[in-house]
Amino acid sequence: MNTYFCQWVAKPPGISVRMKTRNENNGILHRIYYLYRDGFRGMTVGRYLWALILIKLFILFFIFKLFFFPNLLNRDYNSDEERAQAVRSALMESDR
Amino acid sequence: MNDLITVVDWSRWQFALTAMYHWLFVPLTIGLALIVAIMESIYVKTKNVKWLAMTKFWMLLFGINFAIGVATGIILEFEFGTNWSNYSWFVGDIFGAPLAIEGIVAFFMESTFIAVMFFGWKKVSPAFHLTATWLTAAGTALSALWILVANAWMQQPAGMEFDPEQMRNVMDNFWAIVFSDTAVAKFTHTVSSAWVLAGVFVIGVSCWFILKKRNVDMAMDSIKVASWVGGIGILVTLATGDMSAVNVAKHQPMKLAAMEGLYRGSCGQELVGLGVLNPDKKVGDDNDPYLFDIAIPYGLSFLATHNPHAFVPGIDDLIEGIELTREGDTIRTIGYAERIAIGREAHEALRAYDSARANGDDAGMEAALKDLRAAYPYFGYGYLDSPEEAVPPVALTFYAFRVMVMAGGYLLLFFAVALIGVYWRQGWLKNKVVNWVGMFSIVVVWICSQSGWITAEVGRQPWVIQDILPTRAAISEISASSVMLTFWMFAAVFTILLVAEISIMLTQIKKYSKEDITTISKS
Ligand code: HEM
Repeated sequence: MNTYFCQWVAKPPGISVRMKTRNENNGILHRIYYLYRDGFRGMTVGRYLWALILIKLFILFFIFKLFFFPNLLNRDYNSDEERAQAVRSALMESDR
Repeated sequence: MNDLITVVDWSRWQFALTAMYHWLFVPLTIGLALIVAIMESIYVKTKNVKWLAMTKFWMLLFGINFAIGVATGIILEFEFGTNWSNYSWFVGDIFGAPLAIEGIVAFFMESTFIAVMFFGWKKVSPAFHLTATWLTAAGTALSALWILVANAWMQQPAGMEFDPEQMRNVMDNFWAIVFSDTAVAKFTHTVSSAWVLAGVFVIGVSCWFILKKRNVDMAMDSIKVASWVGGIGILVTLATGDMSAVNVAKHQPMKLAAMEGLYRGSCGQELVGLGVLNPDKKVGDDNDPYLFDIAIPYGLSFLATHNPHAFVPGIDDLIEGIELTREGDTIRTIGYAERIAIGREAHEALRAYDSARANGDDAGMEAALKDLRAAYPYFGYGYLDSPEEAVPPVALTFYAFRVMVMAGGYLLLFFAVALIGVYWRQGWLKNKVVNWVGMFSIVVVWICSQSGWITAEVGRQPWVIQDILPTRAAISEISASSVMLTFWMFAAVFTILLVAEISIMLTQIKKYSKEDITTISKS
């Protein structure tokens, strides 16, 4: 059983790569390109995970960051001097 | 004021929620990357296909955890900008550029090497592949570096100077920040605790294989690697935990007192191994702090200072500014009422500086700056209304510390049993009860790791920067309802992610254990 497992797993599990022999003389950029291209094409679980990552990033950056989490000091003030002044007022007032 | 408290409380809950969820994924990524790198090294050396299989199986689980956990930490940065804008500005450089650079470097490093790890099996040489795996392992640990250094700076502000004109701290000694006692202890304790966590995870999952009698040989070899990583990890974790305790005693004695539920300290102070706190105990009263306790004589003095006879102050001692010599003589230190007065002087000096600057009065600015510098170490106390406000939530800190330390003791035993079992007493590991204990320990180690952060972060309250800025002054002017809304949104998103992680992992683990030769040969 264990050997079967090994043979099975020996193929990249879930994220197995569809193999294509490429011309070794291809430039480094080509090789990187094919690494990613073939890698992405051959994915199984990886496909699902990528979908999850993209949905997550969308929720984080397009929903949370855009609508709920502005950088207040950057949004409300134009210069570092104004920002410093705003923080000064806030910090000096909250001790009273 | 009430609304402020609600905003502060909700923002703290939100930060705690996001940090704790984020921390569910991070240690497994750090630790599992190392385990996978070791397995692959053995495969490259032996060319034994079993080790290739193990590498790929655990690499898949690493990939799932990485994919789900990646970017969950970015939310903390969103919160800095929105909920904690005063704080973000005030801390200056420390959270700015280095964190951004680290994020970008880590992202490119990880996305390149992880791509080679998963896609490059037949595309690059075994040596190159192995290098990529090791660099991923190093990259995951290093990507925790700056955020831990920044956290350490909040516990032990070093290497920065406050600039009243910019109203922020300016870095004046990079190395003092990176190599502060707390930064070194925090980084080493955290990374080694991640090895421990991943070691337990691998052993726990392997126990399930053994319980189901599937791929037992592979499970046994996985346990070998995991128990070495976890075994060394737990020794380093205990040593660095001890180092952390010494640092806490030195830089945050109030946190240490809370960790121990200690109100009145003594020379040769005992350590409460196990105890139940008295809920009626208040600062300054004569009630016994414990309803029940089992103590180790001289333990706390030894843990905190490595000298069994040293004095360890309790909460009341610190507030009153009392320290004792070994001979029992009282030495006065700066009590908290005095600190509050000094803090207020610092605030006055800052105001004087501002008005002198507005009037173009250079001499006035210089004099005010001198006063400010002298009083600045207690700047944050100027915000407190009473000394009692400087006491952290004792019960949560006390119990969280106990859970971490007791779990640490249990895990030492756990790895000892795993090592002996896997090399000399294989029968132990085939025992059903042992298998269940192995699986259950996965929960224990995560609770342990989270308790570490609860100890560190709850124990340092009310400070967001030790002695310099209390949490409530760090907050932005936002409404509690908006924080509440995003709190629940985060809770929902993170819960979905966690459920996804667990279910994808379980599906893959089951699938791998069940495959037969026909399917394998066709896959
Ligand atoms: C028995 C031994 C241990 C001792 C004496 C110990 C001590 C400490 C102390 C004093 C802190 C607080 C540090 C601070 O506030 O700056 C801490 C934090 C922490 N501990 Fe432990 N610890 C032990 C075991 C463990 C174990 C077994 C784990 C996990 C497997 C762990 C994980 C953590 C984590 C994640 C933190 C938060 C990060 C940090 O502040 O370093 N600890 N530990």
